Amino acid sequence: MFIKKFKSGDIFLVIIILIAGMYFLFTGNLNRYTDKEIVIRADKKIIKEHFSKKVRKIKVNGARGFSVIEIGSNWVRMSDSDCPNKLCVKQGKIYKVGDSVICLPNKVSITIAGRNKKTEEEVDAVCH
Amino acid sequence: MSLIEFIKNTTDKKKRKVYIFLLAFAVVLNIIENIIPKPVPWFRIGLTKIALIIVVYSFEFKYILLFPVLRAIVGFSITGLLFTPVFIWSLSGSIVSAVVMYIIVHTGLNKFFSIYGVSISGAVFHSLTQWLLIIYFFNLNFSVILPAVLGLAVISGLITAYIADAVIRYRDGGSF
Repeated sequence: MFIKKFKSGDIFLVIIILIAGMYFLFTGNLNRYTDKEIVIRADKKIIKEHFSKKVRKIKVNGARGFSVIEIGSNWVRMSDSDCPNKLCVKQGKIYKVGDSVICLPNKVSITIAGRNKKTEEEVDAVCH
Repeated sequence: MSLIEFIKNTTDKKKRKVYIFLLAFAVVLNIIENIIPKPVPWFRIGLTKIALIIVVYSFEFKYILLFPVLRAIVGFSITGLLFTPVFIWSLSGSIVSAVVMYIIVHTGLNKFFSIYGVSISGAVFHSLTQWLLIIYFFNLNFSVILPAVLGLAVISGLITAYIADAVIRYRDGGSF
């Protein structure tokens, strides 16, 4: 096995690199967004909301009728909507920055947007 | 007798022959690497580093520094990507890794590092250079992939070191 050929410095190097990787894995990514907000677009209107401990419901009017949006501590979902096949309701809760629930017939969409206050970085589009 | 000892003890003319042979070896490896499928985007094993490791162990500094430049120009003109951004990333990454490996091999650090440590540090610095260049070119926060970059660099360093070790030990009286 090749491990037998390792000298002391090699093992030290690998451990250092893996620790550095772990460090960036647990600090760099989790603190990337200091602030999350929910952007609701309802038939040309834009409403911005924040997560709250207490679950609350917001009723907005879309192109077709009403939409009920439920906001929790770290999730948001469409709990009821006035559209024929209810795909937006069936999608359930969303948690992460960049995720979105979209109801096409009613022209209502919910997106979670992230913002880093330190670097003022806002994600609007990433494309590779 | 290993390949490294053979190169160090041979005449200048033969040294140059071996150098050209290693260059051709690196170019072929570069082509082979393009054939290998890449399950992780942008992750390449870095097979050309096998030739670079052998060069770093057995030649002087100017040859070590020249090697990645020649390899990149010849290899990329074959694949038709000469002077594209990919070429610049590949070239700068391999130059930095060649310098780092030279520092480790030809200073006192050689006592603590085997070929595996040399290869891993070369791969890590190669990846870090490319990572920094991508940040500079595209101006985006890429710290998300840094753990993956470091972890995959360790794996690819181990693979290349294993093959390079086998290549160095294989030679027993072939003809150059």
